[in-house]
Amino acid sequence: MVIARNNVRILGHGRQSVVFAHGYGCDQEVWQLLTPAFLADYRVVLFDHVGSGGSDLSAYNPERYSSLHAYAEDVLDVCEASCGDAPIFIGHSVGAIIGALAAARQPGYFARLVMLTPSPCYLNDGDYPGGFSRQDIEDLLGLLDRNRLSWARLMAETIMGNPDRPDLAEDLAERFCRTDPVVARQFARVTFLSDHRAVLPAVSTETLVLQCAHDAIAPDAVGAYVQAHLPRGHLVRLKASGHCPHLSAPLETAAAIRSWLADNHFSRARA
Amino acid sequence: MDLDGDSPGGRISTRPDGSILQVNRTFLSWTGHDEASLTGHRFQDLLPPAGRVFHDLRYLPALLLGGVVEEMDLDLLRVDGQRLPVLASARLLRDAESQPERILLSFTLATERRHYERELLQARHRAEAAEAELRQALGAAQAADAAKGRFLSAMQHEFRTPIGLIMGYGELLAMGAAPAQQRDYLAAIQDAAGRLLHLVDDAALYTEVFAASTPLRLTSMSVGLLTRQATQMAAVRLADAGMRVSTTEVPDLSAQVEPKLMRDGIASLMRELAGRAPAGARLEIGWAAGKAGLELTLRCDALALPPEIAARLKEPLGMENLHRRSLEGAGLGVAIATQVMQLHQGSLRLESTTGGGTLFRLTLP
Repeated sequence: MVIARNNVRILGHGRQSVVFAHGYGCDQEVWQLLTPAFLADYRVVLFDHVGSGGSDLSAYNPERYSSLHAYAEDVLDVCEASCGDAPIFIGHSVGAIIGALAAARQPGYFARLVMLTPSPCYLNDGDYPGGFSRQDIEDLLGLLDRNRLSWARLMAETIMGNPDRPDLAEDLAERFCRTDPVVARQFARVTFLSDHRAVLPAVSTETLVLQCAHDAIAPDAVGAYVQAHLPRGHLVRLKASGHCPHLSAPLETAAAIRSWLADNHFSRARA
Repeated sequence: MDLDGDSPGGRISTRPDGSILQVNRTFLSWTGHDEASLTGHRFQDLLPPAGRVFHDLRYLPALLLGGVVEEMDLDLLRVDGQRLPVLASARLLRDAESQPERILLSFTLATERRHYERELLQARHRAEAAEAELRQALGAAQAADAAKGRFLSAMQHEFRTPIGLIMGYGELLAMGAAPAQQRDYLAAIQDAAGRLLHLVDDAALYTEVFAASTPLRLTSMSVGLLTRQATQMAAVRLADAGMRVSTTEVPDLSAQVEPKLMRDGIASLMRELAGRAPAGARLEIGWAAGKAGLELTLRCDALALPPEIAARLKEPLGMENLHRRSLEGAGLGVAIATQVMQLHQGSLRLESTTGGGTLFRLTLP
């Protein structure tokens, strides 16, 4: 049921499970440039949050998903249904925060946490430089709203593949970044208006925070904040810029994650 | 002829990380930038904060995975900081090794379209708000109806009491009674019948008041006239109860009222007080212009307010708290007056005087 609900896919040949959680605005397809680096040594578990990708839309109800906690519960369901013991969790953007909530809910469950460009709170708050004003977020919600019909069409249309990559024509089906427009609107509110700074100290798992240059959504100060408030947080600054290093710089990102996972010296509490 | 440069659409090309490579003249004239200042900057720097989020979370993934993105509704930032509504399309070009090499973007102006959309959206919001209001009003009306039904059925016992007395004494008479007793029993029957008649009148008035159409047609009426007319309407019952009415000096004020309803409301309260007060009690009527509005007080020191009612007097009387029977035994007269005050957007408060007596405070805004 969970497998269908969250469109869970399992790839790879290793024994150690790695769960990948996408963020706002896309689905598990965002990971396709990153996961090849993990297939040989890990058991890669991909899934879609309810309302995105190929997940079961009928499982979405606005009341339940009015908070990230529901998404965190789903993550634990997905892991229980598909991972062995002590999975590694990799989350992008709000997916990372969902992972933190899941880790706090079940301490000791995840072997490691990797947060790609996380932000626990997007709104500026006193000294805390979230990066956005309330008006900015309202503008964003309006912008997403104005664009939702074309994204909905994206879901229905068959895209004839990328003419520059005919070899991808089969693999790259017409489906990526699918989000139901109604869900997209609410998920945006939940993501960009919630404040989960308080969960960070409760995440006892060893956690890697990956920070990009010129990230307008999760700026450097936020990455530093996240690492500083995690009991066992480690910060690595990538050379890649923007908010989606797994798409724009998959090789650098994969290398950074893999080398951190291979490094077993976690005796110090902080990097 | 330079197709790109003079194209009616804006065109730019960027690297995959957004840094701008080429810009056509149309784009420059729209944004007010010049070529030198743009080259080296990134496309996302030309977007307001919301646009930058959209760029990273929707535009880029779709472009990198699908190669083409069409019909994005965006704002560009002009050099003077103003926003320029545009529709944008983008295509990703790959190099010989299939790595992302360049992004081509083209823009059309969307100012008029944005206007139209905004109007449509506003109209839709208005329609949705109206629908919500209607639904709420319907819900309130249904709730009020249900509450009314409950209240009326709770009043049953009020009717049963005098009916019971009539039947009881009637039976005693039928069984045969001494002449002296007969007179007593008949007096009791008459008394009960009288009360029953009052109740029936009150019930009829209650129904009338609840059927009153809103909004009310208000006229200006002197408070003196209002008081005299209400007292006249309640005269019979005031006399029956031996209640003495005294009015403190009536100020030369006017109230905006629906005359019949307000008279009925005030008279109902007077009748209620008359019905409950001990014989010969005094009813004091006073008017004042307070900060909340025009205030009428009906005060009866001799009518002790039952402590359990006095305890529940925190809020003004409303049909809700009456109907919830938190003021059980308040009586139809009080219900009628409460509804009249609510219809006038005013309030009715029940207060305890310093001697433990009863005071009704009616406030008109």
